[in-house]
Amino acid sequence: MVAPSRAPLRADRLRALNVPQPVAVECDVEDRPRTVGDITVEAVIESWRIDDEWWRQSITRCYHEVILDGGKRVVLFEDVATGEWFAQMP
Amino acid sequence: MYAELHCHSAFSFLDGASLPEDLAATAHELGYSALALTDHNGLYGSMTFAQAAKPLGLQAITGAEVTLTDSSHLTLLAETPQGYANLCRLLTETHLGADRLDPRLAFDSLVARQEGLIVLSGCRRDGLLPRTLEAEGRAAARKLTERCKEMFGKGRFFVEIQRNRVRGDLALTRALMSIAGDVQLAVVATGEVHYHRRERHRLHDVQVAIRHRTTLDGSHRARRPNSEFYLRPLEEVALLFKDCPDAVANGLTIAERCRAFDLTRDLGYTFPDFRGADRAPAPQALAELCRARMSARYPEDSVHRAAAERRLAEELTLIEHHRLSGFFLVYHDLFELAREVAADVRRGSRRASGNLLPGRGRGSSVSSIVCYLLGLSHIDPIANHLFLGRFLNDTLASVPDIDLDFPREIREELIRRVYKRYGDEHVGLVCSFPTYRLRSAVREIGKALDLPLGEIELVAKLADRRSGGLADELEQLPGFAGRKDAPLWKELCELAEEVRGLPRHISQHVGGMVISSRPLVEIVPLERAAMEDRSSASGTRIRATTRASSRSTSSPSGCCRWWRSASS
Repeated sequence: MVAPSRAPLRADRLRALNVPQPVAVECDVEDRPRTVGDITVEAVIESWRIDDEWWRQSITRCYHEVILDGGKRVVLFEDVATGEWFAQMP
Repeated sequence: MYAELHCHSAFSFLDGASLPEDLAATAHELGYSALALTDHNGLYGSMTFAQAAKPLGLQAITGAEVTLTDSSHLTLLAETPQGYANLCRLLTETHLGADRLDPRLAFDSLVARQEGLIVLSGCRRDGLLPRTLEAEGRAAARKLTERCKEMFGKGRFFVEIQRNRVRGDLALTRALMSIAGDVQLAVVATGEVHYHRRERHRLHDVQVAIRHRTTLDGSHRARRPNSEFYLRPLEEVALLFKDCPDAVANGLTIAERCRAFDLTRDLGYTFPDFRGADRAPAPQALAELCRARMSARYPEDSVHRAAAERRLAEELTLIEHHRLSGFFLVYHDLFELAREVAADVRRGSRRASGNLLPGRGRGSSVSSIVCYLLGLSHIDPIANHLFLGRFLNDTLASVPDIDLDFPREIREELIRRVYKRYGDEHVGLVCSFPTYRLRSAVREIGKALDLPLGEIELVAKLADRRSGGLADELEQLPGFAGRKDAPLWKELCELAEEVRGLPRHISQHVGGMVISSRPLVEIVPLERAAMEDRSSASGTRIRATTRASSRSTSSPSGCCRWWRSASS
């Protein structure tokens, strides 16, 4: 059901979906994820990069969609500015 | 090794953030063997690019990315001089056959004029094949590929694959490779370059926002998702296409084929081979014309007569040596035309009885007795002891510069008559490219950054580039001290510097015209001029669209100056 348009926006009721979770990632020589925590990366399906909002707070991320040992599909990204890795659901 | 076959410069107007010279220099530094400049619907930067690449030993391939009637794109590369002529004709058709601001080419026209051209299937977002694949599915894309193979031939149509680390690239390129394999066509790797180094992606984002008349925030969908559209180091290219090395090798093969055409060598412009009234060869016609006027200018009893005879003989020898007789005769013809126009325009006015010249020569040409006798100059070079060498000498590196000034009142009509006399296909007005200056940069980039309009206007009006850059200007402007390091203002300062000197759009030169013996449309693409009301009765007013000299000229002599720079 759609909320009435005149209803005030309740910011406290909003929540982000699929929030990135910090993870520890080890990479191979080509800078592709080899392990995520203790789990081995079975395959890297695709890698891509995002550069945006440089005029505000720059977002520069290298993404990798991977299949982990056991078959789970995860999207990992590295924040290029900080070198930190995060995981999200695809 | 790698040859980049898809590259946009700032002459793609708001879809390229680097000058052709910078692209050539960077490609050379990175060790590229060849680079194709493929700006949108034009060859505006091609000559500059070719001239910049030549001394570096970089092969400059001439090409363009054309927009078809369904708004999809194809990349065209000139393989031979005939291919270049066809490319010019196709680009002309792209502009003359469509809305002036929205050039489009019919696919059938391309098929009809494909000789000497290599066709690539287009970029990831708007390319003919990727777009069909996305919109209509694999079966339709395969059918289209088969059609293209049939129309252009196996050796002339290539499936273009691009990998710029955009999500979906891998799936798209694999689908394209699969279709190409099914149809037995070759694939070629290209980089869809829009700037020479990664840092320029910010400027490109701003250009996209400006082009869509919105802010950076508002242009999210139109902007490219990352900064990967730069000239890559060779090892990166090899890594990106390691699963399809043939695609890289095919690029090199195509580049090798394109060696048959070099824009700096094969443009094919020659000065009109002007002949006399009874079809006398140009040198003879010129000599007769000068000698017929000798007695009027230098009577038998003149103290300068002997010197004038000697000087004329010397000049005629030099002119024939450089094969410039036709060149001088065209000037004479133009001057006579101007005389007729002046008589017609001034008829009935007070100026009609003033016996005024229709125009007047100036500059180094006044030292020439040929110019004096032809009426192109009103200064007697013998009586005034003028030195000829600056205008005409044995080791002339380029054509002599003859400047003629025509009064405003006859200029419009003179342009019309020049079209009528030489024919629409042989005459064009020269275009020019207004470049970004501080004010225009502040206004346009400031809006893209969503800075307060009032403040942008204030800065644009007060900044006059007396100092080193916008940052310095801001420091001196009341109320803006310290802004140069503030968010958004800092970006404005940096981007205003980067955009400085980049072409903003195409414009019409104030007076330059090109006259060619070969149909101009085979030498340079033509466009419709903005001011339709200035069209001659004989048809479409056209505009030559290779990069013109930025020097201002108010006379047809501009064409010669322009051609000299374009063909040297």
